[in-house]
Amino acid sequence: MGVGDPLQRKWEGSAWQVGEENQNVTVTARSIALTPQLNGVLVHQTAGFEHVKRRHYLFVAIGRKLALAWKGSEGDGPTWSKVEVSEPLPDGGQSFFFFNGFMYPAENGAEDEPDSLEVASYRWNAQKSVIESVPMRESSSSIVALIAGIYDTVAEARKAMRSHSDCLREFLILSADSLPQVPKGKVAIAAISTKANLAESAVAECAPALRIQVEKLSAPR
Amino acid sequence: MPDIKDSVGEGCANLGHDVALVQAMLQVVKNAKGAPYFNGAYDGVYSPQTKAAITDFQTDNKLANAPNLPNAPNLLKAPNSPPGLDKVAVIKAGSVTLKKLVASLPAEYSTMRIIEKTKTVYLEGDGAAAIASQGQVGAHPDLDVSFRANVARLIEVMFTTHKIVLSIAPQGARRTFQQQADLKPGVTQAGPGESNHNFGRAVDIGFKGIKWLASDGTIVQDDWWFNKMVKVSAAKTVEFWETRDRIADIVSPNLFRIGTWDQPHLQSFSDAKVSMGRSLVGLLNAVGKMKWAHGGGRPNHYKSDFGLGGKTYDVGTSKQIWAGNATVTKAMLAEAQSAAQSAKLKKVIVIEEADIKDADLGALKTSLKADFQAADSNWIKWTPVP
Repeated sequence: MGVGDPLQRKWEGSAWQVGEENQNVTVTARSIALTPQLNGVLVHQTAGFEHVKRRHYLFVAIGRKLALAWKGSEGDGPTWSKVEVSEPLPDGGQSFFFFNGFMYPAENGAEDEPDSLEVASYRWNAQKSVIESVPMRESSSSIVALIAGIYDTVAEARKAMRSHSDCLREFLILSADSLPQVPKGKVAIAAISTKANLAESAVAECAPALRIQVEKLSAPR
Repeated sequence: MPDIKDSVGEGCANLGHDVALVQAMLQVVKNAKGAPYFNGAYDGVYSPQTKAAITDFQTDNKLANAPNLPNAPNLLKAPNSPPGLDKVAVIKAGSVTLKKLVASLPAEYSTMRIIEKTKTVYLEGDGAAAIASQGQVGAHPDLDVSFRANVARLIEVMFTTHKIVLSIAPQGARRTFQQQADLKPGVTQAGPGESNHNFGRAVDIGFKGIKWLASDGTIVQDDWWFNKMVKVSAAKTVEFWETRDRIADIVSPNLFRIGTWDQPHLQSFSDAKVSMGRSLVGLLNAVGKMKWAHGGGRPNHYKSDFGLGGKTYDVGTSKQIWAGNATVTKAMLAEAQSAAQSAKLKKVIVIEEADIKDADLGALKTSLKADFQAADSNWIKWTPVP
């Protein structure tokens, strides 16, 4: 790669970009400590102009071979995804979270559905040498929901969101299907993050009047 | 009406789509005890369980000779075989077993279908909805005339061929520059005036309302983008998109895709050699009051002469210009006005940066946006350029 060894602990990551508009592909990579002894490299690929899509890959050196240990991708339509790596866990390894969202396109109030967001937690199983999905309630990393308001209808939530659109760009309109903290039949303007303090302070700086409720996310879908 | 193309059973062709459809039918048809004939997940793979389900259905309905008699399973070859019965454990197109199986389907499953070379069973869509969708697209005032005719024809042929209703997703036809600006970050990198949706040359068209059968036979009603099916299998959704694309290719050579990363999108031109940034500049120069140039970069930057006829200056991205936040400075405006006055009066005129007021910059940003607004209003004049 010409940028050092991404499987080394101290590697700081890098980014590459080629092509313009619909030929544009951006690749970023960073290392992750799967165990104190084993590093992996997370590769994120973003492509497209008209419709942007992301793919995520985790590569691990097992023996002397590089293996694809996990991959995540998006479906069709107005989707969005990201991977966040946890702080080091007590055993020295790191877990990671895959966020996969769908932003329902609102058009004149018709067909107005809430957005959706799925969060999955993954950890390396050293005995089996595989990545495994870990129930969120068993994840010892802190992951929280930032709730900027609860509303009776999607239309009301969209209206409220539009009035703070610059400050709530990372937020979605979620129902209880995506976020158990939302009362049944209602929707919330919410974001989910492992970096609650950063997200909260960013919103507070941008829109001081907004009150953000922070909820520990114990068991999202 | 559910139909198979060939035959399913012992010694038969057992094409995946035929097997899947027969399995799904035997899954929803119940025996006298209320149990499904086929108890597994329908998967299009002929198996002993499939054979047993066919045989049990034939036995219960006296459609073939009992399989436990000598010479089974090919009893029709036996000398005393009753006429009009099927071979044991065999279902052929047009056979009495298939007719009986179709007649036994619960009402909500009576229109089960499957596309050749796929393995997902779905229910026929509503013909009236297809006609309405076709009519809506064919007369859509915000779509290029030739393009909308091709899309309307796609909707028509998709329904006549596969009984599937296609329709345009919300925000999937023409988007105004403001609607483009309002899109969430991460969904698109195209700013106002940079999307082919801004010029009536693209649609996002999908499968809203389609009802397909989960592997256990449960009916699932899906959305334009197959949001539910993709959670089961992305490959299954690809089969449907590829079917739509095959029809699109039959209908017109001018229904283009943008790769496979976002399947709903169709557009009227190939963007392999098209620059949306330079195309926007062409439209701005055709309908605006200023001279515009493409500044390149990721994202696209734009240059303007401020309507003064001289050098062009980088005024930022389309998002910045549309938001009224063009990256103009007093130094730029002073230099441009100095050059314009000097040329007009044929002597050197120097306008200092200090002479430029905040209101002048504000007015310039408004004028820059006004050219974009003119482009938005004159979207029909847009042409793709390399």
